Amino acid sequence: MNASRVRRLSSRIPVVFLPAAFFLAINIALNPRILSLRGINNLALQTVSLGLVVMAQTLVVIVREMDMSVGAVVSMTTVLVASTMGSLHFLSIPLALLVAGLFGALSGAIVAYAKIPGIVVTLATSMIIGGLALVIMPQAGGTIDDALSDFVNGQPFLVPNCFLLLLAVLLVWRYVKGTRLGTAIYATGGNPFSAYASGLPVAGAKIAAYTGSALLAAVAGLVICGKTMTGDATIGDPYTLSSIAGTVLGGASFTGGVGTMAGAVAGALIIGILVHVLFFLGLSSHYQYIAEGLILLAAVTIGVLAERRGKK
Amino acid sequence: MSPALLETLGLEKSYGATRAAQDVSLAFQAGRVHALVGENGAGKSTVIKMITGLVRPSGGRILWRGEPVSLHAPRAARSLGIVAVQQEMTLVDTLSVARNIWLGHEPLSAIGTVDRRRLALDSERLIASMGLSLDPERLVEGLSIAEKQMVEILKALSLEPSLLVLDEATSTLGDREVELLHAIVRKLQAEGRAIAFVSHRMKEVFRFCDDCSVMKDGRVVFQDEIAQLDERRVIEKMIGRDMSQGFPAKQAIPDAAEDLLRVDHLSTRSGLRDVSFRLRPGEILGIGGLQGHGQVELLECLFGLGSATKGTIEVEGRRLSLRRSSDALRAGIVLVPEDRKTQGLFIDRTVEENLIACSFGDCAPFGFISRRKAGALVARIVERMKVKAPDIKEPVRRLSGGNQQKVALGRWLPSGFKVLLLREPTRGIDVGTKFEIYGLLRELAATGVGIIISTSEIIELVGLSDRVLVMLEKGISAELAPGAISERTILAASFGHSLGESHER
Repeated sequence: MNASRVRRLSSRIPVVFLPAAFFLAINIALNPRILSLRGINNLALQTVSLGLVVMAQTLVVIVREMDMSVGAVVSMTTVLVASTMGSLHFLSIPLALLVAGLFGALSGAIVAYAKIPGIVVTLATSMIIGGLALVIMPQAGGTIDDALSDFVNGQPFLVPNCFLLLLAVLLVWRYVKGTRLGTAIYATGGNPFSAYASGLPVAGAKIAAYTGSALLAAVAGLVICGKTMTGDATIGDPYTLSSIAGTVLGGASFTGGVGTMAGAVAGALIIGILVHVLFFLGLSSHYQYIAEGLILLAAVTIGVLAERRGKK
Repeated sequence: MSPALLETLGLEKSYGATRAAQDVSLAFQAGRVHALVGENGAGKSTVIKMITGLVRPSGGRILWRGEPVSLHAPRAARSLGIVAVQQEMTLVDTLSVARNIWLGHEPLSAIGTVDRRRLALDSERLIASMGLSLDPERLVEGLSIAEKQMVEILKALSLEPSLLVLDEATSTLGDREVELLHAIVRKLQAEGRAIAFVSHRMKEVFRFCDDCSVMKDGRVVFQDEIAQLDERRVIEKMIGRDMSQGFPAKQAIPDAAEDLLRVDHLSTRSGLRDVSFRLRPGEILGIGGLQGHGQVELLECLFGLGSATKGTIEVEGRRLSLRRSSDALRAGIVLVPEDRKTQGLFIDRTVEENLIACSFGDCAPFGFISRRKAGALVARIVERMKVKAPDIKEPVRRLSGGNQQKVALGRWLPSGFKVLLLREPTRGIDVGTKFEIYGLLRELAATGVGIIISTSEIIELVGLSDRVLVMLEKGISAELAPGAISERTILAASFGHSLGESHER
């Protein structure tokens, strides 16, 4: 087709996949076994939960807000599932999702109707949710049914179930993005007044974004349960900051209206592979934060410089 | 007679103790263009916001085809066919032209997703039917202000409104776009739709409209058919006084006067080509031309915001190298930008803080602001510029457009600048204050300052400038000497025609 079409297509592929490929290459050079299905499965397992929380954050960032409660929701989910699975069996999963969804909707409603910045509201709700999780389960423990672990780690088809889970989320998002709700989400982030004056449900878009974010964080919590086989009221803590880092790496903009879920996955992948590389270099996980911070700075700087050059 | 399409009866809106609108009774008839004019703050926007569901009235009724209706949200007004082109830009920068046009009423497919094919087709059809050329897939981010305004209008038209509200829709358009809009309005009128036309620009009010309502202090003070009126009469009703005093007297600058600013064969990376002119002390030099022909680039370059590729700029005979705005400031060149809300002022800070922002050094001898010195400085500027503010501790946002502009201008006073650059100095300012600002500029010039004004209002060029440069395709197409400045010569030069009386380059 014409040139502008090509340009539009190429701009859709997040630039961030390039560093992801770069780190993957280092990783493969250090440890060729990663190319085995088992290796890929391992990497996937480690990246999927991060991918889900980055998507959660990206969704909220698109409506020009922030969600500081993703980590707390992850923790709360593991705690709820681990403490109720013994009696409720698999009903504990919908229960955990419902609780997360309610918290998300509540945060969203406060943000939308009281018009308080989301970063403040979710900072408060994250403390409440995190505190509740600690009250329910002061020490890590509880029981997780083997079936959940089998599902999360399983690979009945060619690719690991975890990948299928991500793929399913991407497909659902692809649909939602096409609907009027999706339009409202992007328009609200791009220009809230315009969205309102055009008759779009601005409040609805924010509530939907926060609810979706909490649900995605809860799914991440389920994946983590399947890996660790316990509930832990603090396990989600580091995810909040990582989700923000991944969102930036994924190309979403904090000024709203810009961001893709594919980009979010790429952002998570960069962090995931980075952790892997550091591990194989024999560095302690503490270096992860330093590396994450450096990459974040580099990505943002390169992005800004590239944009400036593009405008000239 | 059949009932009006939309009628307001005793409509009222109060914000606390302030009555933004009271006892507003207006009737918009199908097939007629109804002008709503008035100074800034007269209540026009409030009325428009109530009609379009953005603001809830505190009293009164709205009738639609004779039936009372409640317009509690934009959606309610839209569903009746009341659509506004708002004064503020309401486009989403991050979405494409097509997505913006159909925002909120996209064509949907069977499974509830936006039908992109139809979206593209419908957009192309709509754009073409209005005689425009625009790529519907372009992001709004990259459009010019005039293009954005046209998208804004297309967006309203896509809803096939029965009552179209144009709130200052022409103020950002160039002449060509105004012609297009005029054709569109005529077409809608012929289809039996009603149009509410809110504008400052008398010329367009008289060209576009059939009826005219004048608002002042929140009330409708005058109503008549346009055919019975003339411009002077309407303006008198708006400002409540005679405007015969008009523009301040012009200054005769002796030809032999030394140059204050001299620009020779200037070309820039931003596209200016071979621009030469001079500015003498005490002179007001107007820059005209159609929108987008290099006026912005010229002022930006003089303020150090664009890099020159050729040519020279001299102030008082000293050659300047302007690479950043601080170079310009050091040479005594200051700029009052077009958008004072985002570029000229710290809009949420107080009058006092804004006024001392450009002269910290004078008020803060040891790095700390001296209350006494700052107070004296601010009092001096407020008096000189006749800034009307209830309190200098008030945020600038609360002031009227005219007073904001006075603050934007006044903050440069202590710097002792030599050359003052202004873009659209009276945009969004009511008629009465406009003349006050013209007077202030003339007073400034009388102190020996040189002033360059870039404006799209020809009347301003004619009334205020001692000399006029007309720009065309990023160069200068004509320099009009004092005797040769008229609406006709300026327009002719804007389109590249030559007239005997203009001095050609």
